[in-house]
Amino acid sequence: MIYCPNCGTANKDGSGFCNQCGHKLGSGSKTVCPSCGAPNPIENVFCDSCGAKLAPLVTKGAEEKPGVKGLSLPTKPLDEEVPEETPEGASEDVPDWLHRLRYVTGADQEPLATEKPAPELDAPMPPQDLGGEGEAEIPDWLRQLRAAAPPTEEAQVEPPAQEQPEGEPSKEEPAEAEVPEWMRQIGAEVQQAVAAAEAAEVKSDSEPVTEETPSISPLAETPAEPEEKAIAEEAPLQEPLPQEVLPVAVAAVALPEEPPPGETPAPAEAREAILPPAVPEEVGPPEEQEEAPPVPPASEEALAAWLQEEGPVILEAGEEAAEGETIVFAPEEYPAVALPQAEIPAWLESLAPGGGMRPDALGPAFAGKLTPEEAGLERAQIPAWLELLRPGRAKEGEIPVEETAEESGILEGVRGALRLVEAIDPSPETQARAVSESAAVTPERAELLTRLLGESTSSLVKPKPIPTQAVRERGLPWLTALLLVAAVVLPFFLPGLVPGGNTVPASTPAEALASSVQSLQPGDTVLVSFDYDPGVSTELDWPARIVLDDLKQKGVNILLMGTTPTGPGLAARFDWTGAQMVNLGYLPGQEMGLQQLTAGITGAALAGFGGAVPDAPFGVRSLSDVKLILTVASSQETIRWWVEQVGTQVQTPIAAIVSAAIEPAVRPYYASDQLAGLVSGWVGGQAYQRGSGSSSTENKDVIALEAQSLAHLVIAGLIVLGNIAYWGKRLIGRQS
Amino acid sequence: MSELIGTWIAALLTLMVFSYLLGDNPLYRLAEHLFIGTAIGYAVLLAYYSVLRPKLFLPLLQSPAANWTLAVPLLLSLLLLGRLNLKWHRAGIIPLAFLLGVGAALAIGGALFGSLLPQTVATIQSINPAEGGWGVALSNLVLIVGTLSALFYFYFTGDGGKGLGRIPAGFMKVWRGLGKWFIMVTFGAIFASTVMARLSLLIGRLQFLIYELPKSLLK
Repeated sequence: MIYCPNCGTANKDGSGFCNQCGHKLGSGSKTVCPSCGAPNPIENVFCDSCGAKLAPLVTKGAEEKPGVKGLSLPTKPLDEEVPEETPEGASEDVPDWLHRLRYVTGADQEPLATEKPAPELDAPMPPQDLGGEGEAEIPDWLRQLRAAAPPTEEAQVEPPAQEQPEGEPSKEEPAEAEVPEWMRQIGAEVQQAVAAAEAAEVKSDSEPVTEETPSISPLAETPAEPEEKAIAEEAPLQEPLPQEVLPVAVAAVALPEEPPPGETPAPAEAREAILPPAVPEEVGPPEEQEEAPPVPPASEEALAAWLQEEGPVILEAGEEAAEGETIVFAPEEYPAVALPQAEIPAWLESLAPGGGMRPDALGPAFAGKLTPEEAGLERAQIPAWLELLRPGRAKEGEIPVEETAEESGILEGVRGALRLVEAIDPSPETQARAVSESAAVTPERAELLTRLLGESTSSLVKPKPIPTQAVRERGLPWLTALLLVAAVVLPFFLPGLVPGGNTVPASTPAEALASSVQSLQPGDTVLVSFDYDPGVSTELDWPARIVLDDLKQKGVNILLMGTTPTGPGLAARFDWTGAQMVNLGYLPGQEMGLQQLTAGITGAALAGFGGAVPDAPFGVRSLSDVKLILTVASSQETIRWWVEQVGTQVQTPIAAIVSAAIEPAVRPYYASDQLAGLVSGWVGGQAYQRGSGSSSTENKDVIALEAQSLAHLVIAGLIVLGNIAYWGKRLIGRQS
Repeated sequence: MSELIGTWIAALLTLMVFSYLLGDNPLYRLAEHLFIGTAIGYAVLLAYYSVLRPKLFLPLLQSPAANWTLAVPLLLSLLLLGRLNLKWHRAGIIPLAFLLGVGAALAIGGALFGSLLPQTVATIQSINPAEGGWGVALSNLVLIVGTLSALFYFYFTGDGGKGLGRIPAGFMKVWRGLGKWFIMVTFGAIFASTVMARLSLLIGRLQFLIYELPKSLLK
């Protein structure tokens, strides 16, 4: 059962998601210990906290399973589920012959009540059937093991009691090679102890020997202290197993020493003799089994008397069982058998399907009364490989984990660089450590949850509304934009808002251009190239118009052209009334076109704009014939082309009217005297006017300058405020 | 009337472009596509009527014997169109090689004699106050220090603070740091100039909407 960590609903084992709330039931799901309530990993068989068994002790049908709301399909193979641990030998796969044995030995107090009835009785269970079914229940690997094992002496010398009818499978000793070493050691120790006990008995005849235990099992033969012997006597008697139905290996261990010839052991003695071991580890080693002589079976004559009394009653057809008798087996081909209703021994009761293991069925050593050491039992050594399989019990460091060294790469020779085995197949230690870590966190979380739930809602302070990231990201740009728009628009409605906003400082490059223009004489020719796009015409039209007005007033001839397709068209928009002007049109080829232009105006690819180009406009055949070259450009590449391709070829001075954006890149050409003058943007145009002595003719230009000045002030203020906020926040952060 | 219609169209397109402040929208897209379409159409017509027709086709048709040399640029132009077809795209390599070769030659020659040498000579300035005064001397000093430190910043950035000859590494580090500051100031000046230029454009558009549009309506 997997309890959902979210809603607590119990889900079937193997469920991947909660059937109630859909919560994932992964590795975090726990199996609640029925004893102490501690959560355990679902893989655990025993509780990590109290050691109680986590799997239900009662088989299905024993109790209802409340809380299971519907069925959810298991997401894990059912083969991976932890098998329900049952008492020793009480698995659900108990062969039928063991089931039958339970009922046959239900004739309590009859140690030699065998399944094989007396010859004169019709056997209710033929040996053939028994053997066949028992053989069918033996796994294949055991069958192969049995076939591969060489016959032992005991197997070769069949005791009389083991005479099998035809068809009964042969009972062979397990191969010696299959006996583990630890079992050999334990067997040798037990054998030595038995020999010592026998020697002590021979030595001291006065020491009474309990007749009820004429021959004890190897386990009982271990020399024990009087207290232990008393405990052994107090141990509940285990029911004997019939020799015919016991596997040879079990019988060899369980059967006592060879009784005196001709002496039939009493029922009680036989029970003691074939007392099955309480714990599988206590089973004697194979050597002991080999040395243990087979018990001579009771002769049919000897058994007949008590068997006929205690044996099953064969019911005839139509006959009903008497009171106190139980019909245990009645197939069609065999008559029904009624067995006296007797008390079922404890250890056999534990084998019953659906029954739980009773502590008292295992003896005092395992009923919590005594520890195995106190009971004289010796703990067997568990192999390392078996210890690794112990769920959640092994401690770190007990079993060394072999770490392989890296065979290649930069980590060659390094051990433990990557514990691949731990990553793929976590060992029990890792799982146990993970559980312990999660268990350490759980109380803290539980405490936090309890504290939060305990707080009253009224005490909770309502958090102040914090501006979200979206507000900060969108609000600040919008606020900046609104401030800028306000700064730009206000001067249009409130002229003179910024005192001195329409005045600009003196500019040497602009004044140099003004000086160059002023030095022109009427009749001189000036080449003006419009090398910008309509997108920046708002910025460049005004300074260009100012300079062109001066040129017109000077009465100079003007040749217009453009290295951009839209240049000549933009030039045509100006007022050329009363001016001597020729629009040469578009000059393709960029720097190659300019290089060609240096060879001659007529040879250049100038086709004119709105009309043909005369051969020598204003008598100009080459650039050397013009007095000034003025380029109005929005790109620094254009200025570079003019300077590099034309300025290096002709001696005509070149001046430029450029956008303010490219002034830092163009100004070095002015500093190196490659440009005779430079006007950048509106400020440059205003500076040119100042240098030339003329004034702005339109009021809107003054207002535009005021708007630009106010916008600059707003930008500067925003920059200052932003820096104050940034450094202030940083300073406060340091102090706090 | 045509001027009035043109003013209204200009105002409408201006508002459509400004609508991008509210996010991308079809009105902005329409204005953007109109601008690109008209620009390309204008360039194509201008190239035909200003270059191809008067300088190539008419001379070849009117007097081919006298202008047969024009067949060379015509052939190169046709080969350049081969770039549009995968089968003939290798034919376009010839005019491209011609264009790149001539352009590179002009660029190298122009850069060497038009920019590199003149600008290098321009940095050789006197820092003697007696010649031009303290202001000129200080300006020239800043020019020299800024040019050299900026060049050293780029040239010796990857050497990890090594010295230059007998010049210690510590001095070079300070020198490069000074160059970095000059570069940062230059970038700041370029950015500020760009902001000022764009503000001019904004003011111009608002001026058009506030002044030009009402004026056209009152006419």
